[in-house]
Amino acid sequence: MHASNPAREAAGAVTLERVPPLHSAVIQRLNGDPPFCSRLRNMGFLEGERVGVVKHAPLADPMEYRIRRIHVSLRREEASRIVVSDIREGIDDLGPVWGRCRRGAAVRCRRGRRRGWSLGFWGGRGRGPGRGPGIWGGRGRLPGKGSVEGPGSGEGGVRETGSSNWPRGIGRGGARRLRRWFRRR
Amino acid sequence: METPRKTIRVALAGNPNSGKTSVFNMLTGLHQQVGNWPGVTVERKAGHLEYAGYQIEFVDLPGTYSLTSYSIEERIARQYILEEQPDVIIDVVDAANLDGNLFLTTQLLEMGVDVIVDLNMWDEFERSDAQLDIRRFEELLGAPAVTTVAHRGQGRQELLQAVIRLVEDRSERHRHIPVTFGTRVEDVLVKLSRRLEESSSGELGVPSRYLAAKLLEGDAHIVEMLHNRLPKAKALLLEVEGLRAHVQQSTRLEASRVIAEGRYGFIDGLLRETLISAAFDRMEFSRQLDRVLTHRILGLPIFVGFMWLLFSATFTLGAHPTGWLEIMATFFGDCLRALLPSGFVADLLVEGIIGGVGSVAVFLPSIMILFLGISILEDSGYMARVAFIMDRVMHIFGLHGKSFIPMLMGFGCTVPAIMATRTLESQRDRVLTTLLLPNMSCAARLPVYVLFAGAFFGAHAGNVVMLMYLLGILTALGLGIIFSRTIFRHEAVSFVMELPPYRWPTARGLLGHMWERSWVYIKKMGGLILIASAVLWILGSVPHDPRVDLMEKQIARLEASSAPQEEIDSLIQEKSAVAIEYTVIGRLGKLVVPVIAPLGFDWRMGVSLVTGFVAKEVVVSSMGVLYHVGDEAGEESESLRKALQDPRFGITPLVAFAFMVFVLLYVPCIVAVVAIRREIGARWMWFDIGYQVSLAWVAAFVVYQGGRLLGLE
Repeated sequence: MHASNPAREAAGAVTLERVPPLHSAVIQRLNGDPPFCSRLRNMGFLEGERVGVVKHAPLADPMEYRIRRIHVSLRREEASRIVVSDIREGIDDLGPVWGRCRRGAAVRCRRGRRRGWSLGFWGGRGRGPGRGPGIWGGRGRLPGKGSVEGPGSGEGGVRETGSSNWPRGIGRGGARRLRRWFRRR
Repeated sequence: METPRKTIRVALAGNPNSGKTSVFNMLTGLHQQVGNWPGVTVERKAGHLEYAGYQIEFVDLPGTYSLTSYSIEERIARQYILEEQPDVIIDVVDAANLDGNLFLTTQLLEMGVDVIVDLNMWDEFERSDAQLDIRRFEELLGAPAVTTVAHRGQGRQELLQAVIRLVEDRSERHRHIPVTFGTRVEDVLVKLSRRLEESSSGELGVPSRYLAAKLLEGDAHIVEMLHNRLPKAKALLLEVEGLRAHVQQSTRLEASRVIAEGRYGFIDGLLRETLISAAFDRMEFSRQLDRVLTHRILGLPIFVGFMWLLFSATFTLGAHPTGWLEIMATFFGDCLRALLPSGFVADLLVEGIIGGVGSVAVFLPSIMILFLGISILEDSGYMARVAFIMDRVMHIFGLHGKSFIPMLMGFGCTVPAIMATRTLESQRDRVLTTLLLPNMSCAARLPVYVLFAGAFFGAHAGNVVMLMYLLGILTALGLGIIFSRTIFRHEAVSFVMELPPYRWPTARGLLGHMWERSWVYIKKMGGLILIASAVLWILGSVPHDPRVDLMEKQIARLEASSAPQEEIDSLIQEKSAVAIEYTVIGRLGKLVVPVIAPLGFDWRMGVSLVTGFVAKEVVVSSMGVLYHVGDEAGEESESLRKALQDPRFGITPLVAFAFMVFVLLYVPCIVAVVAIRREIGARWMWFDIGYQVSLAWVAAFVVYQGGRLLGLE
């Protein structure tokens, strides 16, 4: 990623606070003093990562963002210092996934928003969409090893994944009912 | 090969939401001491344990996401590791969020210390159908890993055994620093490490590669450290600049970004080899719940509802135990009176100590319930949503959303509110919040408002009282803005905050947190409050006016000769008033008169204000005594109101208003002052006292003199 390229910036580059809820964008640049940039990077806001906008607070500020599978809240002013581009709808496909993803589970965890699953995940490539090549030019390398593939692929099968995401006490039936209720909205 | 030492020093590090506190509690049980890191207001927890023949000492480092030099918490953690060189560091990691948490781990490993990775919240990890090849994980990281579920107390033995093993098998560990950054940066790092080793002739004490990486990142603190330690620092640092520029040119990125990407790249590679991710997004449930709880329209009312629930529970549930404690205190007092010969000592013990400590102790049940409520908010994860919702409002004060709950608690009692500021992560927020808290008019000041508003403002009394509260909030606002721009100007303010997944709190965790905080409150009461109450009582009873004895004899005579009751009563009241005038506190009140005269106050009000330093509730009863109504008078008492209105005493509505403003703004009670000192240090305590008294005086002055100028007298 080039640090400054006016043409690229002019074309579709906005700051994060202007990205509407339930959309995602790729981080191009962090504007701000070193403490600020450092703090953001510590939380995973790295150039090349795709960040999703979950919602605005009831008083419109701050905003909740989703990056690398965690949720972080930023003030409007802070978000305005993050330059992003490539805005897309949907915030479900963010975050890296390692290893194989079982097919049954893949469809089930979509919440009905986006059908299908990016094929890049088969074969253990394991990078979230939108993640740039980085300085290594492609795949992670560990010292003394060649490029690494994930532990096998194709072992998936349909699996009842149940309600492991819900806290205990609700029960599987309860979780299913809740989920159905939410889906209807 | 060293023989195992008898004492092992262990430090706990980890991200703020990784459950580090639970791990600490699990390891140390009740053997903890809580204090502050020297010179700063960041909380420091230490504990100890005897295990397998060793004495293990634990230090809980501040929760951090990284170890840069940009925040004081990170600096503290880093300094401790570099200078104190603990034997083992337990890095508490949220197993379900490995890629975020390992960012800190990589830095710990770079520092060349012995790390045990504690994969905490392992139950969540397993429930989510993720799998981790732990052996390979340990191999690739070069550090042992132990799984725990700290909030259930699972994994304690394994963790302690891992610590022992690490210490005992020192020779067997291979310390290799696994994190690599890509060829271009690697070259630079190797070169820089070699230069560092040359310049320091091997005396660094820290892996040179770590220093090299930090220098490349532009870490100011490390630069300073090198200046102090290395003689040829300047030349070296120029070289560093050159190398940084080189990296920047060849990769076309800033060096700090390159390093960060390198770390994440390493983590990616590591996890790709060892982890099968959860198929499910663990934030799914939280997102759904948040659709309601932080809903754009519903979110606020629901939040208000929860706050209301919290506070009403505190008062209703706490009322019964409070009643019992009051009864117990009175009973205890009566027993003592019966046992001891009447006289100075008995009075001191009963009225001074039991009375003083008792009036604070009776709040204990309510405060414990309040702390329980806060623990529930924190452990469930809702606290972060509170901060999320309220940040916009708090931002106006120059504060963080997390300051909302302490400020809200300040309307009840300042002391637990000050203690609640421990939940704030940054020192700046804690200090600023604590300074602004006393302006949130606490419940003990209310009787003064009710009394004066009722006596002087008749039908508008209610509005006047509301005005007082509003004034307090506005003052906090103004001060917040001023302080943010001046005193705290240099400290970074950021709201970047993680919203953790909602979790079901465990009884064990809740009780632990609640007990931990309540215990600190109790210790405060036991110690200084006891002494302070005794001292203040003594000051209020000596010297003894000989006229009082004469009057008492007179009263006895009147009672014996069955004179009219009013005569006896008025003589009793006069006796009390005279007695107070003669004592140290009474004289203090008179001393203060020249200072408070421009505010329209007389010596009686001065005495009340001085006694109000002990506890604000005492202001009303002192006034009762001083205005000859008797110390049983409450703020609702008609006789006291009438007495105040008596033109002899020269109190007009204007003076009353000025007095209320003064009571609103001047120092909080001594318990709160002690709490301030404990939490943020003596220096800030004096600053707080200073600014509050000055502000109160100026405000009352403006009100009174301004009012006179405007002809409102």
